[in-house]
Amino acid sequence: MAASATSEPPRLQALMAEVDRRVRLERSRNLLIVGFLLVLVYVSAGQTEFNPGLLVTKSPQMLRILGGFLHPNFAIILPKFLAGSSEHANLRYGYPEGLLGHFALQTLMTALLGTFIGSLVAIPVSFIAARNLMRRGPLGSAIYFAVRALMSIIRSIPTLFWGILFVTAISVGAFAGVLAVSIFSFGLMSKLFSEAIEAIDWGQVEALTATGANPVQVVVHGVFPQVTPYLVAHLLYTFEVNVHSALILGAIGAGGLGFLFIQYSEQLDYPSEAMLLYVAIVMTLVIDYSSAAIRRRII
Amino acid sequence: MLRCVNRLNEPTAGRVLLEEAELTALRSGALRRARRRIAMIFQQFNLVRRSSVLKNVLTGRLGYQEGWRSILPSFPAADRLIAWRSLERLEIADKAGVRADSLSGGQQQRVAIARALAQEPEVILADEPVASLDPETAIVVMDYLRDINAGDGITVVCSIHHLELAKRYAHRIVAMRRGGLVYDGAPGELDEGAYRRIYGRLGYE
Repeated sequence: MAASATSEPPRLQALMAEVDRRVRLERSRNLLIVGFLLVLVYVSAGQTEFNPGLLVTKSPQMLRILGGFLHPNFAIILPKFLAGSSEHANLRYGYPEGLLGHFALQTLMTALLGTFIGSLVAIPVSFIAARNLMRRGPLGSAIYFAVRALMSIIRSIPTLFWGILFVTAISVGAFAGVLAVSIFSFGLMSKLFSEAIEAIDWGQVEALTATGANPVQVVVHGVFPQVTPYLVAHLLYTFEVNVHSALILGAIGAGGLGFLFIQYSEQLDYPSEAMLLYVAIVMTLVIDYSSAAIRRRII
Repeated sequence: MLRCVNRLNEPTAGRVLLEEAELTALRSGALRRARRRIAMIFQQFNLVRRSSVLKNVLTGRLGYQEGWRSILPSFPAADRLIAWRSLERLEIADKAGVRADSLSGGQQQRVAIARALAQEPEVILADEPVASLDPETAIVVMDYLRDINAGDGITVVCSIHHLELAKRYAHRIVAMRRGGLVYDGAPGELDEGAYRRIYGRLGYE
């Protein structure tokens, strides 16, 4: 570029040309990568029957659903005695007023219980899944790899599949949901928390080792204090994710709002469907903001 | 205090003047144009660590660019030339292509000075520029700053804890203690009494 047009000393000109050449090379390499990714995107569109035209031809149906969102059915969030027997209440479908609150609570409790059970197992396991604590000998390494593999296997199965497994194996109901959420929580929490342990400042551990403390003492007094803020932060995050999972799990009969959502949508009851989504949105917003506020305070 | 000059921090009281222009009264656009005239170097260098040395120095030209083109990663040829000359001036052009965080502390600070120089400023604010460097490298960096001050006519305002370095390099020393002025004068006139006023009853050295 500028190199040839100037009166810089030859050494500098050579340097400038060299760097220019490298930058151009790097740029064409990046262009190649982006081009390759675009081809992948194009192929994906073909394989998934991606068809924006459907958005136009199906627009009347979408507008009807959207209409429901403008006129949500408030009756379903009111307790029975307040809702009265107006025709807005969807008694005619056999789902009484006030049901929404019950199911919303069930979703929250599924998430809470699942977070508790999953994390209870995940927290101790995280320590034996932390590279920096374990890979100090052949036995530790073996345990480390075994635990890591187990965690990966558990995480590779989506929460929804766990839910389906438990619904078929045990029965329809919130208990199946709790089990599915617990297992998912274990997978997520053990990954997040073990990585927090891996990121600790080793100097503090060395200082405690130098006092003659045994490994367990070192973990309790040197590692744990370093990771407690992350423990709380990751617990909150896991809970957030679990609320979402619990919402979805209802759709396969594992309790909670998702169950109602499927019912409403099968009856094409868009106003009630809309009301349910509004409740889910508010729930999520409240949880996300309050956990963000707590995180800010502890980290 | 230095950070109040280019208003990275807002002063709670008082004014900052640069040749009759009241910096503390400027609003966004005018403030950015004023900042262009006042380069800054930092104790922790504050290079964009993952970017190349050349790119870091080129960022010194950002204040001169207008419009949508300036958010693109490429810079005009004239700016590139200025950046190269600044690197050459700091004798670190050899490293132009490498990532900033692969350099030693002293080299990084030289790149930071090159970035400041690329700004073609009237003033360089140096906020503890050698506090993160070993004594030998500190001398090298201070030498560059002195040469830039003498050769390019750029005023260097340097905050520094090390009184020996201050005496060796400064034309004028201003000492502050607990928010108040305790010394303002030539380096040569710093005596035992001034030391005690600056550093309290412990004295110094």
